[in-house]
Amino acid sequence: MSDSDRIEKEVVIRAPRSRVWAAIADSKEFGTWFHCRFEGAFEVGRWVRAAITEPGAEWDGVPFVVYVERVEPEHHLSFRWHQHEVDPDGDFADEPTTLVTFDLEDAADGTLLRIAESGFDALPDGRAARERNAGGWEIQAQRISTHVEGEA
Amino acid sequence: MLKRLASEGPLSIQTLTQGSGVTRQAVTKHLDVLAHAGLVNDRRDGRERLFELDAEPLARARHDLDAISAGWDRALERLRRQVEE
Repeated sequence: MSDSDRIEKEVVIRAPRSRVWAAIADSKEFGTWFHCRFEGAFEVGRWVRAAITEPGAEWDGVPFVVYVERVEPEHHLSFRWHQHEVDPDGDFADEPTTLVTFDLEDAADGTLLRIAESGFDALPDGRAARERNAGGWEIQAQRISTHVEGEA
Repeated sequence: MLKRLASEGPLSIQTLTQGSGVTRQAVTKHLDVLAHAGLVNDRRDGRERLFELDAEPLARARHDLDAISAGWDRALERLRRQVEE
């Protein structure tokens, strides 16, 4: 596995593990910080439909789906999603995905959260797919920075 | 092969075949695949075809991954604020 295949993040959150877990495992709470809206709860072995919530943005309402792989309460949650747009009503089950994992453990002053996203190298035409995704992130970044500066 | 092209610059099929342990045909086929993927470019130098790394797609992939990574950073910061409130 190369460093182009995987993204890893670590953060210590000053809150109990149960609280951090709720913010990740409850799809509604997840949507609040991730800026999306899920149509149902995270259930292992099921696709959950979602849409991006970025009011005013060009990609506001863009649909996507996640496949919940594993849920171990207060320890681990993982799902798969696509790096390119898919039709939520279409046949997307065999389309290539990346895997996103959330791992929680107790830390001295709260909860250590580790996030990893992997599988980028295995995407066919990974470059083009990433460009679409990265384009969205970058525009989003500009929007957030404008928003934050506007408030200041 | 990409490593050699990255470290040694433009190389001919003959040079790439030497010491590679595979046939010239295999090297040529591999180069065609890489060229099709946009990872290498070829140009004529006299009688030889020289292949060189096209750094742009790799650099762009790196850049895209960085952008996705930065997206996670921002999302995590929002998560942290939401939970710590």
